[in-house]
This record gives sequence, C-alpha cells and structure tokens, in this order.
Amino acid sequence: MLRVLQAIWQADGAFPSGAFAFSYGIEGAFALRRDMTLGDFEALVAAMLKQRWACYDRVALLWSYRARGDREAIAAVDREVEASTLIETLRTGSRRNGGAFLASHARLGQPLAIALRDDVQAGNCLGHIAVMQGAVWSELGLDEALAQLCSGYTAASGVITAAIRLGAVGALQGQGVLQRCLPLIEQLAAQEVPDEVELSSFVPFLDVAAARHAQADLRLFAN
Amino acid sequence: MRSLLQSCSGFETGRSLDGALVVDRAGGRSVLRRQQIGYPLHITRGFHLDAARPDLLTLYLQSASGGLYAGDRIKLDVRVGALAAFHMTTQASTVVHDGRASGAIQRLAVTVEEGAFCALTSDPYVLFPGADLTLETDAAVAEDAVLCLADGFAVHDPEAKARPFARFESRLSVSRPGGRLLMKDIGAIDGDDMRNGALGPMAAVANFVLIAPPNRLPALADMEQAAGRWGALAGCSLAPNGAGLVLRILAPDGGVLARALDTAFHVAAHAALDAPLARRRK
Repeated sequence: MLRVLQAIWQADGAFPSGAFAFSYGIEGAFALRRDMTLGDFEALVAAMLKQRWACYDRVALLWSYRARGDREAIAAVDREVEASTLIETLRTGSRRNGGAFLASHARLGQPLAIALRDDVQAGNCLGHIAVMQGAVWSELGLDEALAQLCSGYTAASGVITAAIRLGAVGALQGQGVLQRCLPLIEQLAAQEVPDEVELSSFVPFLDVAAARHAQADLRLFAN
Repeated sequence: MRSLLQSCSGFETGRSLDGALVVDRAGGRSVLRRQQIGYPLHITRGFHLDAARPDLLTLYLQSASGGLYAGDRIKLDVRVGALAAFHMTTQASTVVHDGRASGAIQRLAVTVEEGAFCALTSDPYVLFPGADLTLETDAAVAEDAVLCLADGFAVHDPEAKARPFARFESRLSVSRPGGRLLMKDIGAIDGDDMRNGALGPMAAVANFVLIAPPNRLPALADMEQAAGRWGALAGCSLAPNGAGLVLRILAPDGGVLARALDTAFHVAAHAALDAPLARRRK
C-alpha cells in the first residue's frame, strides 16, 4: 500500500512541483479560440492525453524510469526530449518545471534528486519534467504502472486547473472533465512501451497556441 | 468454367523508386550534376527564376501517376554541394489514395554542405478516404548551410461523405554532418482522431522548418503574419539546439494552407538568402 500512498502524494496538487506556473499551452489555446465550449475543451484535453502525453511524456518518463538511476542514461533521455520539443515555451517550461520538481525532492533529501539537481546546475543534464519524474519516482519505489498513472493524472489535472484559474472553465465543470479523463488515462497507461519506440507528438493546435502565447503582451502562465 | 481474374483485380503491389538528385555549384550557377528519377515521379528541367539570386536552381517535382497509391515506396536522396543553391517544389498537391493496409511511404535523405541553400517545399498532400501516408526525412546540414522544409496535408472525400483517411505520420530528423542531433519531430494521427481537438477548429495542417544560422532567420512574428495573411493560424518558435525555427500552420482547407506555406517560404528564403525570390508559377 505504501507505493499507492507515494503515488497519491506525488499526484497531489499540494506537492510543490512548480506545475502551478504552467498551462501546457492551454492559456494560448483559449486566447486563440474564445468561443471554445466545454465540449471543445474536453476534446482538446483528450487529444493532449492521447496525442502528446501517451506517446511522448509517458515514453520519456518510462525511458528515464527504466534507467534505474543511471545518470548518463537519464541525461541521454533528457537530450532526446530537448531535441524533440520544438516549441520554445514548452521546452523552457518543461525544464523549469523539472527544476522545481528536483528542488523539492532534493530539499526533502532524496539522493538521486540531489545528484540530478547538481547535474542540471553543471549543465550535464537539462532537467525536463517527464525525465526527472521517471528518475525520481523509480527511486521512490513507484512501479511502472503507478508512475504512469501519476504522470497522466498530473498532466490532465495541470491543464484543467490552469483552465479553471483562467476562468475559462468552472471549478465543478473542470472536475467533471477530469473525472471523464480518468478511464482514458487508465486505457493509455495500459499500452505497452517497447524500448525501441520513439517520442511522438501531434497536437498542432496546442503547439500553435504555445508558440503564439510566447509573444502575448499579458499572460498568467509561463507557457 | 471459371473466368480469369481481370487485370484490375490483381493485388496492388505499389511502385518502388530509389531516386537521387545531386546539385553542385559550377561556373557561378547551381547545376544538376546527377539525376536518377523514374516512375512514378518526374522532374522538370531546371529553372533559374530569381534575378536577385541567378545561381539558384529550381526544379518542379511531379507525380506521373496521379498521386501516391497503396504500397508505394518512394525514396529520394538529395545532396546539395558546397555553396550551391537549390529549390525543389511541387507543381500542385499530391493526392494520396486509399492505403489498402499497406500505405504509402516517402523517404527523403538530404545532405546540405557548407554554405549551401536547399529548400524542399511540397504543396499539401490531399488525403483521400483510407489514405495512409508516412513521410520520413533525414537531413544532415552543415553549420553555415540553410535547409528549408515544408509539408503538410488536407483531407478530401470525393463523395463528400466525410470518410476519414486512415493515418498520417511524419518523421523528421535533422543533424549536423558529424551526427550531432539538432531536432527531431515525429508525429502521427489517425483519420478518426482528426476532429478530436488536435487541430482545433481547423482541417489542414503543415510544418515549416528553417534550419539556418541565427543571423539568417526571419523574425518569428513575420513568419506568423505571412502565414496568417490568408486566413491560416500559425505559431512560430525557435527550434531546439539553435537549429533555426519551426512554424506550425493550421488552415481551414488545403487551398489556404498552400498559400500560407508559399508566403512563409518567401519570407524565410528572403531572410536566409538576403534576397527576395521570384514567385514560383504553378
């Protein structure tokens, strides 16, 4: 049961992972599509989970998880994520988010988090959030299934919380969307990730929104 | 008595092509040093269209067979030698027919040597119902060279029944000649998921990539405005590892997408070459 409790702890929005500063492109998406309905938003979140999280963040997470603390291997995954994240605000946001996640675990005394934080500061590692989560959650004792569920839940809840804080979606409406995402996260997390699979992403609407958001005069979130 | 199968009932095997184009600089101009192109592709003779860059060689790549069909395996190796300037484009959109479980694959291997300029810009592919297309591009670009890539797709059902395509997959990898990875862009979508939010309210999508030194890049806002002039929605960003820039374009249809890509190409090429290029007649 301790593994499940560890996963709940890591998925809890109260854990200081830095995610509150990032909208994953959703702020830009609402700016581009002011007539977005709740149904459109729910479809976008589902597309993000299916077309981005399942085949990109989840894959990076598992590669890093399977490195079992090998920092050279973790750094190689990090470089692959850097080269494959084409939109600058998503790239820098992922690194900043990962840095905050590492800082929290380092201050809690997690040895690998301390070493990875030092690697990031020394420029040996970039600190992308999915990669850091995979590395640290492996050390915390989460199994692969729990690590994936934790990652999928935090991705969905992060986007939905951002939409609520933007006032684009009501608090209970957002919780309804999140509840309906749970079976999709479970289904996607059950898909095998063979070692030879590559990072893949196809949500061009969020890419466009995130890229344009970087040039916005006023924004609430970093991306 | 059993009748023989009609020829049109035979199994589709698709067409296979292993082509190559080599462009070098010679006598102050860029010339086609080697061409190995066969059916189902065809290239026009070379044109030197640009008064501001008379050395730049332009070729039109055409489909001689009416598009891409199930089982097609097209491979093209393009090498642009040092200081040469080359643009290959299409004369129109390429139709992609029903993939019949084997799909069509188009592979491009590109080498751009020191100081060279290479632009490979396709009009959007038009995915018919059942179409299954994979585009694979591997490029090696010298530090001071320029590579401009553009491709994308729109959908069309000739029977207007909104039948979906099967799948579209794009795989792009750009490295330096020594093998250092600059950027990688892999993405795929099934036709059934086309309207699930990945494209927002739009129906056509394209990627435009400009690999160039920082001082030869256009302003990001100029690229977005160029594509947006026609009603497309575009977002431009600096690419990872100082590779250049990437522009994602969404459009309501293939026509708008083609115009947006064309305008974006001219803005990018102007910045990269420090010279305006002439309109490519199509």
